[in-house]
Amino acid sequence: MKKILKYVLASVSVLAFAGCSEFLTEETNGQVFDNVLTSQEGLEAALTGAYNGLNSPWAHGLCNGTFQQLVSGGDDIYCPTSDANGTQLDRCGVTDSNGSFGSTWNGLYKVVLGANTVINNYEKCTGSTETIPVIAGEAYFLRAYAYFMLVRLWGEIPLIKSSSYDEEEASMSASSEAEVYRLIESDIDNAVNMLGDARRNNEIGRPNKLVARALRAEIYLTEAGWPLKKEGYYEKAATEAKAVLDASEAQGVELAESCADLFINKEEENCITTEDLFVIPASTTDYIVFYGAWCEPSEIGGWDIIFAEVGFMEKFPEGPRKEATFYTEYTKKGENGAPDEVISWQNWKQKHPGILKLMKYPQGGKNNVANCNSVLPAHMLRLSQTALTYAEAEARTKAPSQEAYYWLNRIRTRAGLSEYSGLSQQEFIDAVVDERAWELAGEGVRWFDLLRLELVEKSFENKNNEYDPTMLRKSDRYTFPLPASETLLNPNLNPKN
Amino acid sequence: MNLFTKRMAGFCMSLLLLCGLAVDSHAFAQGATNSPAPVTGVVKDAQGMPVVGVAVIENGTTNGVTTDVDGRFSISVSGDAVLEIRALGYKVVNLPVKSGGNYDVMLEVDAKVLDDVVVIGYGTVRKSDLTGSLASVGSDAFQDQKVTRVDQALQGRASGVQISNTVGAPGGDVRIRVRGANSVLGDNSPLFVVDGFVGVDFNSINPNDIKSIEVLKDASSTAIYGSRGANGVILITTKSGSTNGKVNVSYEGNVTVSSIIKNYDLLSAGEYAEMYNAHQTAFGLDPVFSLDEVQSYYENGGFDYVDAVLRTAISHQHQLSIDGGSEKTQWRVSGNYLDQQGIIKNSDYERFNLRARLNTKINDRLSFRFNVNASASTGKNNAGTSGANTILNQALAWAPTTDPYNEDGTYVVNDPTGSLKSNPLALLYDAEQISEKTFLTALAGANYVILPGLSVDFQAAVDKLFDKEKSYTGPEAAGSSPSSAGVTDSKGTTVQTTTQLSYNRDFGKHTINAVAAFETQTYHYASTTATATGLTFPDLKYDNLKQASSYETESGYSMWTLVSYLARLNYSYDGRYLASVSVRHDGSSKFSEGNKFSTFPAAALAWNVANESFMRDVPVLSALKLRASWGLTGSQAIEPYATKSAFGSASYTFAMGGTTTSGIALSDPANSNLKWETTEQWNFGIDLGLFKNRLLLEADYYTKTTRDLLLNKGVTAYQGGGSIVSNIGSIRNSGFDFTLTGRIVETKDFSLESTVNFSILKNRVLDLGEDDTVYVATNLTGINDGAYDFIYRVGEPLGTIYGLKYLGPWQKEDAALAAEYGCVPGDARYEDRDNSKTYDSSDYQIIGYGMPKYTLGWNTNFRWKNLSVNMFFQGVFGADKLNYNRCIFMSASRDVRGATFSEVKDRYIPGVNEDAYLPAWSPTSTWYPVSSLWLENGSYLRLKNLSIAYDFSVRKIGDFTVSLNATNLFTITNYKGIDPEASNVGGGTSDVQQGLDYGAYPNSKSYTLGLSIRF
Repeated sequence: MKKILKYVLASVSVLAFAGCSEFLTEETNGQVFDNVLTSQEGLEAALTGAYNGLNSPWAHGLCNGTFQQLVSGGDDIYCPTSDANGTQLDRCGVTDSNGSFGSTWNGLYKVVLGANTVINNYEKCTGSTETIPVIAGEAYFLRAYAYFMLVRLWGEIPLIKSSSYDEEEASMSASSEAEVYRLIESDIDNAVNMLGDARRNNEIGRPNKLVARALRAEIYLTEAGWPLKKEGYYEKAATEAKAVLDASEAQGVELAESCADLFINKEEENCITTEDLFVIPASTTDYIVFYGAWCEPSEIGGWDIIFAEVGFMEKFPEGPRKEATFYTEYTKKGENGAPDEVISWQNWKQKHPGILKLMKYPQGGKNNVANCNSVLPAHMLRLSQTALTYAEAEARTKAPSQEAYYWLNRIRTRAGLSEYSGLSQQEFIDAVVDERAWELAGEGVRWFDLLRLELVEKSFENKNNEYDPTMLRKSDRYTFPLPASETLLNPNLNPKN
Repeated sequence: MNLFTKRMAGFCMSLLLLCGLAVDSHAFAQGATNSPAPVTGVVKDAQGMPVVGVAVIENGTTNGVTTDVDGRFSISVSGDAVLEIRALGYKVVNLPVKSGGNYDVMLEVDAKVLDDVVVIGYGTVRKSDLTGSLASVGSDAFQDQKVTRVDQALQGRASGVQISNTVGAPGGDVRIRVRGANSVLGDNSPLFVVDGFVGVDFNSINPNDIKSIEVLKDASSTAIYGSRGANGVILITTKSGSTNGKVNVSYEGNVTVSSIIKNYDLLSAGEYAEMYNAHQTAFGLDPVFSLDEVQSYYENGGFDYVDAVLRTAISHQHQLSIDGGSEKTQWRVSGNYLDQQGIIKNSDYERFNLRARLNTKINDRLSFRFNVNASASTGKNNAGTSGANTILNQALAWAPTTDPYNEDGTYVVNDPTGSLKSNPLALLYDAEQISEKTFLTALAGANYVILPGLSVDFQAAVDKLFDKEKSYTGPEAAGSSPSSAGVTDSKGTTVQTTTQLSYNRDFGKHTINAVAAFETQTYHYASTTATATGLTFPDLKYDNLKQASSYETESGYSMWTLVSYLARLNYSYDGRYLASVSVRHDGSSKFSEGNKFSTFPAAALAWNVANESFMRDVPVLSALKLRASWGLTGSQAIEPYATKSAFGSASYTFAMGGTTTSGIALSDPANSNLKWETTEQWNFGIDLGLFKNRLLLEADYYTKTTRDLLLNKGVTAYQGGGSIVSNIGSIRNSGFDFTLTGRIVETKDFSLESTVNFSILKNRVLDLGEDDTVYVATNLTGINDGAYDFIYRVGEPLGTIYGLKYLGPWQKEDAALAAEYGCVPGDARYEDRDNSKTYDSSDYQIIGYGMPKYTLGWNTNFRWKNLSVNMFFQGVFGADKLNYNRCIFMSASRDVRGATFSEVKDRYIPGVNEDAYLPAWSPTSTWYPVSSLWLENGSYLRLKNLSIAYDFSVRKIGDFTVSLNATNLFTITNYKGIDPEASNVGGGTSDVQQGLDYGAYPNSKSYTLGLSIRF
């Protein structure tokens, strides 16, 4: 028995004192750490992670209906009063706790952080010396795109360049718009320099040099207006846009034949057009949400969140483009053999027309909506916008040229409108601004145009709603206050602190 | 427990006496041949039960006998004599007798010898020698309630233990807390130890197998569990076989009928249509229902969705156990089957349990033991779901004016007027959540006595949990999303070894009880998940995921190890002065080098004042003990790998119709400096017994201070969002636990015993590092996206509710001021703290406290002959609840476009009802979800159990007990919801969020008929 005891005690002490350090080692099977970033595969994976910020269905990104709400301050989009978040945004009286911020703000910063991971690591990365700079170029493009969106929506924002959590940044202050644009410009320059002429892997979701230049034209155009009003930037915008227009045809990018082709929105087609420059593609896993119930009236099973402004539609020139832009009536299937009934927007619950571009190809009557996840792409930038950017930017620097007329009139004739000629410089500019509103209605452009051109208050007239537009306004700026969820964690973000 | 132990002890005592007296009694028997008729009698206890093995000795002689199994004795004495009747745990009776007489003797429990043995960590101790604070619950305390899970046995029966059935579904989530919540991040549930196996899932335990439950509360008791002791420890000892050579077979069965605890007060279809039109009008829109339609709904009614999803549920439970054994070997096997239905249709829980236990003594020195427990359960739709798209929420949301069926009998997918979400009937019949869990635990141990008092013990145990979670959402339930299904398979394995040296010895008046042990635990977990979206053949559900338009797979792995050294020394002098010191040294793989190990010491002192000679003359006082203890315990409130920054998965689609590309994205940042969270606890207690212990009071005061508090500090979204864990901050729980037991009447035929326990808990955040406040958003309703509803703040408790303060509707006389807010009279008015004329984040403030301050349990047992009655009240006081139901089902906005609650009739209506609490419906009136508009007092007192049991014997068959009991018969509360106990948050783990009700699965009212037979 004493032998047994000795054996037990011996084994106890061996277990106790010998195997300890190994016993307490954490096995990290299945975990991915940052050492993978030294390989091209790791860098590629991090880039994909950056793109994910643009669209993670329902979670974050620009493809939820909340993004349309954020730009509903424009006179093209209307949000009904049944939703407090939408009401604030539509009436330009936005508080810092607005519940529609999250998806867009979080998604864009996920793009930034993912892009930072690529940008801060690509130089140390081993792999194809041809591909790695293009990966980095896409990351620069994404970061420029994300900051450009953020700075236009929120104004002064925190500027993050690090790729891992930095405690000091938790208490940083917001950067001025000038600082943000400085980084945006540097990033888009890098993107233009590093991207190739073709989209990598021929994938429509990736930018090439042409797309980066088109974005650069938009950036210049915006910098020329409020709040920076940079000198010489209309000229730069015009030059850049023209370069894109000149190079586009050779790359197979050209204006679509008809307005009806632009937003077919039938799920059985791939819905990419010849003029798409930057799109967020969709699949059954990475679907686009807003085409579903968000932008549909409840009469056809939608949620009554996004509509068109009545005044905007009334001023909208008639023609095929108008037909392709608005959803004004639906057919109610007759019950028990009764004839079908056409019910127009005036008799809908919210008494506003829908924006057809943002809807799935309407399925028909009540209860016929399949679902709110669609496999339609989100069109973020198309050549028509670049054409109008060129026309406007050039007209702001000199008398409109033949070429400016050419591009404006191409857009107008496609919309079934008469060609312009002989306009004064100001008339021409006004015409382009209106044309942009109509051509790009519901595409998140009008709100930013109103901001850069300081037309927000003037646009209230077009909204045709019974409220005092200045009633809810609490600041002299129309950019949004930073989300309360951020300023509570970091009070230094608020200028008053 | 008391009774059981006492009888066992009495039996052992009698065996000893028998051995000692065997020779003598033989001699006496001879000598008594010519004596007159013997004295006979029966010895019974206060409950009238015969007491076996009682020593009956003629005073002043060595003449003695013991009682038989029926408590009878027969002793020959010469003429008049005095018999001394003694049994362990009872007072000695001196009975004057005459030869030939027949006497009934009733034994009284000896209050001064509280010799119950209680289980403490890594050993046992006589209750009178206890230095720490523990609550002991024996199986007899809950056997009449027909409990199906351990928490029901404990709820209200142990002071300092707070239990809430936050999810009323069968097998649903429950919140168990011992002396409050110490950790923000970690699970504050206590540690369950079953027969020495540490860290058992209490769901795997069949309560009918439990002999006793000991809740260790103070640090001197829990520090022996070191890094896992901070939340209290619940020790469960399972029943073992008998030692008397008999085989016992018992059957217990019961059937339960349950229904919803209270009915919702909903608008009728006619009222609904009328209210809907009123809402339209208030928003300047046309009415939706014509006058004829409204009238028709009033006359013909609509569809009652709530009634359609609820049912009267029937459940049953059966248990068979067989045990037997001798002094050398004891064995017990039991099987249990439980089939529970939930009151929401299609929700149920089924469990099979098998437990076997074998103890054997090879010789005086060596013994072995072997325990096996197998438990297989299937829970269907019984999880604590939250969010809008749940059956109950949609049953409340769908317009009663909407017919749920299409003409062809399929479910209507979209409600044209009310809800934006799925048809509740589709959610009920076209969706499933199935959780199949199989627990297997095997434990083997050996004990060897080296020297008298010194023994070495080795125990090894393995615990496996196979978990399969299956889900299915069919096309009709998915509504506006595609159908989907998924399966997650996981396996967790825990292996524990414990090697222990124990030394227990009395040296005169000194008693020493020492233990030293070495313990290891390893845990490995692996899982695979497959999900599919857009099912080609929805009927195949989760059983053929390939038939879908897209699918995803994931797999995961994690592990941790823990190594521990522990020692404890208990010392007692003359049963008067007691001391205990213990230490545990734990090392965990979860921390980085240098932070892996920590030491958890504890000490306790107790003074049994009643055992002092000077107290013998105080007849009223039968027990008095003063206790004090101090100790440190820990919590490993972090998940494995928290010290290492890893990437998560993120995907993107680069081409139309293309496949998804997987990528990586930053997850929560890591902190490599993490260390143990440590809780320091002081405890001061008093045990007082009065009137021969007919009245017993146990009172404890404690403070628990947790330092190096692990906090999930929110990371701003611009830095990636999520949170980072750090050891910052401190939390204190302090409070009083009282238990008052009164054995009010104690006679042969009639007894009445009542126990009240009451706990006061004060929880305070003391320090949050650099921050003053941490904000938490539950996003429960889906309509307050991103808005915070909870905070924790220095000086405030966890579960503090943070929102706008509602001031009632704007009044007419304040119209001018209201206009500055863009409001009109009748609109909701909130406190504008910074006078900014707008309601924004700077106006948010503390509006309530979700954590209960007081808990009460009151258990009364009444017995008259064979009839016994148990009445058990349970109460929670001083807790606020945010009743989101009222917000969602009266606001008529967003996801639920029509009001369904009757209360909405009482809203402010200009010119009609201007003296209202609820604001008006108007385009400028915002009914903020996170506001005191919906805050209510969640206090309640509930008759948790009322049972009547009748015992009777049937000759040659066995003993029978028939019982009838009612659970949750009535509740006294001001809470307007269905069930103040139910909550969507603060279930199993979280204490930061507590007391939200948004269609939480309510508890049910139930009646149980039970039968038990002992052969």
